[in-house]
Amino acid sequence: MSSGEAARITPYRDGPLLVRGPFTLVDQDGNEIAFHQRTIALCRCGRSSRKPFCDGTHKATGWRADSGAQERPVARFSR
Amino acid sequence: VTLATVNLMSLFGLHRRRRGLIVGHLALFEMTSSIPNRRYATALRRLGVRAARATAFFDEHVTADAIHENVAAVDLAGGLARLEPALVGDILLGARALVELEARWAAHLLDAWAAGRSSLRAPLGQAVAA
Repeated sequence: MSSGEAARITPYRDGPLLVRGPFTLVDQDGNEIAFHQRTIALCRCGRSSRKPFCDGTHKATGWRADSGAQERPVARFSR
Repeated sequence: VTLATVNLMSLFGLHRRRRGLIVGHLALFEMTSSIPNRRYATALRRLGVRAARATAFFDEHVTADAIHENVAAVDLAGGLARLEPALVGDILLGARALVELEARWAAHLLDAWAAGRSSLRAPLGQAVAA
């Protein structure tokens, strides 16, 4: 990896956030969440039954998201 | 028919000139395997199989293939397509061949299951003896 030691996070289009090490994963109390791959996929659609990890459910629900940053929303008024 | 899916992998994987085919095959396989693996694992638990040695393989491949689907589709197959655009047709053909053959394979096995017979040409005992 060209960025040396820094962790790298990639949102994949219509998919999860892939985190490539080195990094640690902790819950809000600071307890470490165990995993045993060097790269992990974190749920981005909210439907995983293995949170915080992705379990592929986004494909079954047809969830969509770009890989890059989203444009800021424009308010619309409905009459 | 039962072994055709394995033979397809060998056909695509054994020669460098078929690299687009095997990459397309692998990418689609990884892209579609996390949900079935979760169903295998939960089905085993529904049947009362609690031993981790029975379910670990499937459980592991739920989260592992959720990673692999992106790496295989975007980085591996997408990377090869960007590097060698001439192989795009092969990549798609490899993926389509997987879908087509897996559908035939599944229909064949489920038909055999429903009919109460082996999906193999000869029952396993005879095949080993022959």
